[in-house]
Amino acid sequence: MGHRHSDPFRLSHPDLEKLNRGLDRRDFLKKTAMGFGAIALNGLLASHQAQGQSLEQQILDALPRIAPKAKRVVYLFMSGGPSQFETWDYKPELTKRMGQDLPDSIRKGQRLTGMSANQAILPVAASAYGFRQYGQSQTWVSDLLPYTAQVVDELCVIKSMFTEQINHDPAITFFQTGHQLPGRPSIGSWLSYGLGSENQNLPAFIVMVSKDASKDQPLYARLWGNGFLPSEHQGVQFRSSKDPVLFLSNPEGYDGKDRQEMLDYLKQLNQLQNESWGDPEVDARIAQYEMAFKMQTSVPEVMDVSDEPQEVFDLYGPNSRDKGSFAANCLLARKLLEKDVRFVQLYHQGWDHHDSLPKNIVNQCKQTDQATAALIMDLKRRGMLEDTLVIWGGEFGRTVYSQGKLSPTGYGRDHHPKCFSMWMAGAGVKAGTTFGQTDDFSYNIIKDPVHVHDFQATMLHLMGIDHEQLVYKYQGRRFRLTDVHGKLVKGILA
Amino acid sequence: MIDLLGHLHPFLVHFPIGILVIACVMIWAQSIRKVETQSSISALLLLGAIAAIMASISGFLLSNSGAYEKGDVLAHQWWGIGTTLCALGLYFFQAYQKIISLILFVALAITGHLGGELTYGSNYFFARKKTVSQSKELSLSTVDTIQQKIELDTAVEVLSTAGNFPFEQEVLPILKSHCFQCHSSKKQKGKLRLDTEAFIKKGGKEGPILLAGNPLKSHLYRYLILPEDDDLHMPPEGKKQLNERQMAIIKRWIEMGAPFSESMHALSLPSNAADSMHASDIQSHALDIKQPTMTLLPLESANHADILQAKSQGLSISPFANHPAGLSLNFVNVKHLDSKAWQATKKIQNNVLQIKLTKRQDIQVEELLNFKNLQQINLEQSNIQDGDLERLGQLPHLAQLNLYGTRISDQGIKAIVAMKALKVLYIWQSRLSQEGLQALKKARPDLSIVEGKFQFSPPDTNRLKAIK
Ligand code: HEC
Repeated sequence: MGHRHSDPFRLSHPDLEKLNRGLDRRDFLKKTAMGFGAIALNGLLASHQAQGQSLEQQILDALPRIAPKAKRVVYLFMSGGPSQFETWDYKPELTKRMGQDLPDSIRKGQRLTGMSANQAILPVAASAYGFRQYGQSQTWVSDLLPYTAQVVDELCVIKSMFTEQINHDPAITFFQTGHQLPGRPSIGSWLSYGLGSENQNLPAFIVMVSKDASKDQPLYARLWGNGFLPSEHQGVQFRSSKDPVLFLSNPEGYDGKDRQEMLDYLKQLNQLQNESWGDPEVDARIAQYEMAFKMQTSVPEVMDVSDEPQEVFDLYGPNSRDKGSFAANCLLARKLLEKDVRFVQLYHQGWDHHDSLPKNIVNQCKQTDQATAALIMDLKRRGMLEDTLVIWGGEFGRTVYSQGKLSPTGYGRDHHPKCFSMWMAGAGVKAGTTFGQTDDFSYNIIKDPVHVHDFQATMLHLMGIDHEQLVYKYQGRRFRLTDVHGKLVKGILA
Repeated sequence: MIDLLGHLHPFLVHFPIGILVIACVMIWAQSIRKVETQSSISALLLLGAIAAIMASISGFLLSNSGAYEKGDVLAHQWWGIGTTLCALGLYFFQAYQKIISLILFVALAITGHLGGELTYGSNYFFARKKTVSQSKELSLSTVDTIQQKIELDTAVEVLSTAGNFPFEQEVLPILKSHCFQCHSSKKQKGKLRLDTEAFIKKGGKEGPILLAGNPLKSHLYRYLILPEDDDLHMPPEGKKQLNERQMAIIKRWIEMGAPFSESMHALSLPSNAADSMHASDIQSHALDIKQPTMTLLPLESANHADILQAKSQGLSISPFANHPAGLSLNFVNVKHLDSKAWQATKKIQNNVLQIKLTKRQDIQVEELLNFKNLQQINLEQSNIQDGDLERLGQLPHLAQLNLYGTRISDQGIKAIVAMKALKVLYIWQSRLSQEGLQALKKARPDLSIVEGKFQFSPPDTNRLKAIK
């Protein structure tokens, strides 16, 4: 084959030769047996290439248009299940019942985890911390959140969240992917798939995990995984180490120009491969290599906080100069949102307080409270809060009764899926309001329950997507983030 | 039961037609190519004859059901019976096969055509497509009187103010009860479906049926108020008609800009009483912003191809939150803001209601003036200067301006004061002096100014201790 030097690629690797020869009969059968999907896809790719339009764009164009109130989301995930009793759900009646057994009329046979199911008594534990009303909205906020309390007029506190999962991993997976078993795409991946990325130099979905939190429950990268969606939609984790994104920088002695050249050739090879095979993962690869190259310059720029004035660090609190802390991540989140990154997710672990809750929760709140409030105010004064949605919450709530021995300042709380509190702020949500209500024990919801799927549907709605329309066909059925559920929570929409 | 059989007629008639035509063709083919297929032909003929008898019986029952004038049906009925007899004859008399098959074929065609006239109306075969222009002659005065009547007959508050979802709550039920039988998944008369937002926005064979803000130019409304005998009146003559309240709802909804999701309160409330109340409530809070209550411009949706074209030039374009036909334009991915970049926006300029130029140091204000409907500009941390503001003042709808982190100083105040439509101003970290700011507030008390001065008050650490 040496005589065809004008062809761009004449390499002698057997795979490439096969590629050059075109497909043999068996390959042809394999390919066609794979279905007309590949052919249809080829057509699709050809047509969108012709129009210079991304696949996401086509998907978006096909979706019914809901005016997107939010252009970006920052989701502060409080992993472990923060107690609603010491944060947002004020239950003054409980002090009178301190130590009494939880009435059966309230528990109604609800299953408990193995950690407290065998307790002889389920003693009611009132919050060890006081509450006060704040702001125009006179919302009750725990004394543990003195900073968030000062921005409470921006928040819409939902006290009536509920989930179906009682253990951490299924519950987080359920929140992030709409299903309790691993394998489905995360919310951010769905958004990336549905809306694409606004800033072509940064991924649409970025994740940061606080390093200053106690790692009582693990987090897995699949929580920001793309599931069955094309892999360029997976969340990209930014770290606090020297290389914020792993394997992004060039090996030593290898300069950017070489890299560029190498990637260009690689892209051509990939495209050649793509023409013969029509495999969408090839597209995903091409997109990822391109993104990685752009990120070699865009990431160091956005991670650099050296030009932020002291006043900003003061606002985000004492930890904000400590790289990788929740506060520093909040500041970075603001910088990413300024760059029009679509979905930024922060994880802060350490809220799983089965014992010594009063002691441990103080520290959790200290680590997160000021930076959270600062993020809201910082977005607001820059004019970004009106089109940025801020979300705070964990995967479930905690029980009204103490797990283990109860003393006035020492108690623990077990997992409780039947009600817990979250809040949203910013674009399109009713600021300064509370939504939903729980009973006197914060055990059952008595008004306006919000299921995890409802929350997801509402979030997509605020981003301009009808959750029933954003589907992906995989293994012969259509999947969506909200499965076959999810109702828009109209009560929280501004 | 008998009714049901009758209703099966339109379904059953297809069998004899299909089967008998095949039989005829086979008869002819046999005589040309001399192949022996007689046994198949006989079987087909028998089947076809039976199907024809079934069709005739069901047809007779249908004609008796009262849905049709007896006289109209007569010709179709006798041709049908004739065709059936013909088919039977063909089955029994093989000898005259060729001639009878020709007669049968013609009879089938005539019967079918007559039947078609009954269901689709006479002349359906040669009818030309009607265009709106035929109805354009409708004198404006007729429309006016109908309109006046609607306005007189209906209470001012057509849409309940509580309803944030006027489409879902008010409009859709009307379409469902009066239009879905012809414009939904069942039928698509005029190539139009009205059962989902996407279809409504797509329009019918004449194109879009909605012009947000302008009911009279929206076919969705205009056809409702045509005189009932007009061919394009909807729902067509003889069908269940809309009452005046229902017409008024659709009119009002289009006037509101035909929002499919939540509507803006400012539009559904009779006055902005609620707003001003809110304003006095929040004055004390430094960072509070009144949501701008923008009036909806009558605006036609931008051409889809033009949007795609602009996107392919690297512009980031998304729907604007506050206007159904509005677009929001972001230049993050544009390297150089040169004339080529601006040129890419030419065809969608009127629909662009928001432009984001964050941190750009290469803005030319003259270019912005081409977007004459602009309501919101993000110029934070950009190279915008006092002198530019006066020119921005020429944008008549500019309601929100983000100038934080810019070099705007007291020199710019006069121009800001003069921006009549302006409602929200971000001015944090600009060069405005304290006195300048006071002067601005005094001159424009209606303006929400976000100064961004914000400091946390330190928490009371005593309260962080667990209560005993
Ligand atoms: C009985 C059937 C029927 C019903 C009910 C009906 N339509 Fe129609 N509609 C038609 C037919 C037939 C046409 C095509 C008219 C033509 O082009 O001559 C049409 C056309 C239209 C068109 C023009 C589409 C285009 O672009 O050509 C509009 C708009 C329309 N209908 C609106 C409505 C609305 C609104 C309702 C309910 C209030 C309604 N129709 C109910 C039969 C119906």
